[in-house]
Amino acid sequence: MIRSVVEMISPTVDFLVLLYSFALVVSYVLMGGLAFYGLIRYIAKNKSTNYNAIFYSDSLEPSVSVIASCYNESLTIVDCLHSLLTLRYDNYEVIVVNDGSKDNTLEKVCEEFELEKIDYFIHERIPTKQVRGVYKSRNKAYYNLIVVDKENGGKADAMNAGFNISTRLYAVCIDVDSVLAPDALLKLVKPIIESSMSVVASVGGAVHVANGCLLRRGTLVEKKVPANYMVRMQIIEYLRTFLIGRIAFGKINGLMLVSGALGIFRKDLVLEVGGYRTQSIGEDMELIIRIRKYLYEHKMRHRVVYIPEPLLWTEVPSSGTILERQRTRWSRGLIDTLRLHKNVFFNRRYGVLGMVSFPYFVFFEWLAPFVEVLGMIYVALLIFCGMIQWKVYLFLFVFMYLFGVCFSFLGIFLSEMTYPVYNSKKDLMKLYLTSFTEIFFYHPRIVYWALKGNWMYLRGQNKWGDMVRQGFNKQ
Amino acid sequence: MDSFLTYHPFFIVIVGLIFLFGGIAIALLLINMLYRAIHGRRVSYRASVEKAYKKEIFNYLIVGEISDIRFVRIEKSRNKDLLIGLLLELFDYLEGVDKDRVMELFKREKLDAYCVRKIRSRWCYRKTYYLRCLAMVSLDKELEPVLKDMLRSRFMERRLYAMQALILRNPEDIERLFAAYTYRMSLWEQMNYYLFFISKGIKVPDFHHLALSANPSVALFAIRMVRIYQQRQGSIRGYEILLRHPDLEVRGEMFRTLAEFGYEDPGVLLEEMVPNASLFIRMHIMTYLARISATDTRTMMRYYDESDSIEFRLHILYCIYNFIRGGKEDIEEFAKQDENKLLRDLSTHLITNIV
Repeated sequence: MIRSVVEMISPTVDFLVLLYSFALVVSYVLMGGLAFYGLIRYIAKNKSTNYNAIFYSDSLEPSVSVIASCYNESLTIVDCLHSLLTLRYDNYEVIVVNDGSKDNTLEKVCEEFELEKIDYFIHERIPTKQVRGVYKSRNKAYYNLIVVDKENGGKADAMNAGFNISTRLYAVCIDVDSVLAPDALLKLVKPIIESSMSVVASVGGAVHVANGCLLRRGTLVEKKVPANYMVRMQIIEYLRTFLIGRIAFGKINGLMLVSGALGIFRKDLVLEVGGYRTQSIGEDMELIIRIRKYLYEHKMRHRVVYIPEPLLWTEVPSSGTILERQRTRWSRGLIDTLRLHKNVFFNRRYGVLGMVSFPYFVFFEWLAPFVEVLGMIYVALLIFCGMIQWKVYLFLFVFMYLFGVCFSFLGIFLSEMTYPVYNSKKDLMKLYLTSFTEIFFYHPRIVYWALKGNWMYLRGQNKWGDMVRQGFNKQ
Repeated sequence: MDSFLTYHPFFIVIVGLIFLFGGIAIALLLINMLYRAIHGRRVSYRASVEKAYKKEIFNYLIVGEISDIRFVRIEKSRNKDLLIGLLLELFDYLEGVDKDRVMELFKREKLDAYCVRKIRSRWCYRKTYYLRCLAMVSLDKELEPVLKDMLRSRFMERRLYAMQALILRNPEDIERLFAAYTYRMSLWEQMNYYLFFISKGIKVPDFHHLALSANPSVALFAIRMVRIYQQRQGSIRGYEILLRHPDLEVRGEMFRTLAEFGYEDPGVLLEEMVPNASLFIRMHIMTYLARISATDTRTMMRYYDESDSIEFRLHILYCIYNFIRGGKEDIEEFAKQDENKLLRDLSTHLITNIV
């Protein structure tokens, strides 16, 4: 009975699976080509850029608020704030929103930066949880630091509070457990001020993994690939994502995601669309889509730009438990966002976003784990029915394996050729060799967590979960 | 129906793809390793060449004759690039006779012609860099046509540096060059031009004529230069046309400029504009009004009461505090009163945070 069913469906399933794989391979190849071209263009254009033009511009540069939300970040908050307060940019303020931390985050910050509670009028354009106090420093060296203490409401709520407090034209949203490159603001602002024809709604920058790196007074002084396998795999993932995927989508103006860890937004647009959606778990992607929809609906030419230079270093989960929490959250965030904005799907009104990016995320990001698992079940059925053509499936497996390895290699290669991060050849070899093992030890877990995230979403489990930090290695 | 997986051609395609992607993966790894190995040697080679070039340059600058200079292996492009980098770095710091001597070196090694050759080359992807090099040194006349071609480039950076190179050659042509500029000039370009003017000590023209340009971005740039270079002239009446400019930014910049110049007697012109203008323009108008001595707190608070916008109201209070005679005391009174809570909160916020 099973055999006859399998015999009946086999040609169709083979065709569909291969069609899907073919589409996936073609889209990845296209992305690789676009990324390569995009990187060359970016370097050719920016190699001789003189950022001093922004410094000597007689206050023409756009004003920026750097907004960072924190929850139980006592281990890393002081280092991160020091790095934020020493950025190379004139006209900016740093707003740190303490989102009801249960540890001594606020106390540590108050002590380190000599903060005192002040009267502050908050124009609450986006409703948030109650703000308990606003703090500024008695020390003039930290004149541009504002710390906001509020009731816990989640990252999105905290960021919205930051938008309410901000008095500047642009807002950079970053994760506080990260180290920003000293000239990050200059590089983020440049695409905005060099655009003359279209609105630059947002700019994102490359995020790199800080685990295993050495930090001194808020600056990374040594970059190393750690021994932890999970972290090494994430380094490769981040290189693939940021140096291939994001550049490629940025080139066709199809970006629908600016990393929540680092992105600059036009504040008036964020306020116009109502800020981050607090009920959403994938709030970063959801906000970008909402902003872009708004701009498309108002027929405003716009771009979301991506910068391939490493601008932010962040700590990634080093244990499977924490990584699982993160990935199930990302999966829930993805499905939630896609569901919320399903009217964008193949909708010509939304241009490249609707016709290319959104379908890509539906088919090749959301559906991919399902297709993979269904494929494995199908292969198991074929084996059970004695219908498997070993030679064919073995060759297909080898092809997909090599394809995956090739793309990981491409990510590492592009990083090395453009903005090399790791000085040691040993570190580089570690990354290349680790790429060979992904399909066996890492990828199955990612697929499992993606499926688990979908299941959790269906069951209405929408909590963030606790992210445990280890802190940076300090000198 | 048989699955097409068994079809021989399909199989061949899969095997072919395996070899293709396997080959690409190996190639990427090998190229990367090779690049690392070569890069290390290249860095030390470059350091030794740089040391030799610096010795030659400094000897020449201090005591030598130009005929004694010998740059080793200068025929290689990367060594030419190295020399260009060194000379341009010196060019930024030196003045007078020393600067001229560096320029002589530049010309003797025909580095300007080399830059132009690179710009003309179809395959060179660093044209912007070479244009920027030319923008830093003065040119021979025969190199001008290449730059004039670059003024029509679709790449903003090439237009920028080509324009700078031409301005350096003929500073008196600034007005003509900008008047003929038909592209929309971004803020980045404007910042770069300003930095270029001040770093090269360029004698800038009167930008008032350019402020009337049909190109709004050029007009905006010109108004900013008028403000920054303090090219104050006439009375407010001369600027009416710009205060009614269709471009929002031009209008806003004009009000900002008037506020800084402190022109008096706006007449009914501004009063007509305030209700209809955008927030951006209204804020600049308020700054302008506040800086005129005849305006008092009462007049400013009239505008405060007519508006619902928190940003606008806060800006009015800021102007009162900073520019109106007795305004500081008025704001402190507002911060103490109880009748108007919003006014009290905004005043307190202003005193505590902004001021």
